[in-house]
Amino acid sequence: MDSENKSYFLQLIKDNQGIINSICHVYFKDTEDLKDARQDIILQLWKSLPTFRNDSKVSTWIYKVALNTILAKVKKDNKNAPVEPLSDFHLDKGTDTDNALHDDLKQLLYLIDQLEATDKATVILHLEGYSNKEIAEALKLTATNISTRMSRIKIRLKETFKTLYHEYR
Amino acid sequence: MNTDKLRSSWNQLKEHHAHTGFSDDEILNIIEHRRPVLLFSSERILRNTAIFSFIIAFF
Repeated sequence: MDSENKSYFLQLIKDNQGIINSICHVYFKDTEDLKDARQDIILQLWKSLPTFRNDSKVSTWIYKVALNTILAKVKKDNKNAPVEPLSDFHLDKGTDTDNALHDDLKQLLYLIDQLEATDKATVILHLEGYSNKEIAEALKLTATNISTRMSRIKIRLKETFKTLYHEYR
Repeated sequence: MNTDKLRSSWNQLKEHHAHTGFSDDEILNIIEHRRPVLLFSSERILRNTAIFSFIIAFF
């Protein structure tokens, strides 16, 4: 039974490693921090596997566990990377993985990087197509809180995008 | 702000990361290596429960 569970879990992680890696990449730039976060998420997923019921999508469960694990880790470590000043942003700057990314992806990462931890999680779930109600349930917040956050985030992203575009002209 | 372009970029990011990391050994190591700590915690909880039950029952 344990062996069956492990086989199922290994496949589940492999099928969804794009989600897990992307979330970690959004929150952590340092390779060691990124690896730690990935390990924490895998362990939390394994521990909560018995409570996972198939009434929600596997990806929804993974987003929920992964983001809450990261938010708890950020809060505990208080290691939320400081936001770089906008003038420091260059397309050729970043980690090795960043350097391999397309410009649109770098832009996305940069825009999200300007947000605080919970807002990052909100944006990620929004980009994944979840409603404010679903985001609120996943992050254990109220729908009103998420709605307010989303309005604020959109203004922030718009301003950052304008400044970024202005710098490159 | 229209987030459609960002949504497309997010999907690209997931695709980019879908083929990296996580060997079977790495995953097994994570879930098996830390298990003794969890067992230890469970054992400690059981032991404390037994001790307190004993104290409550006899005192």
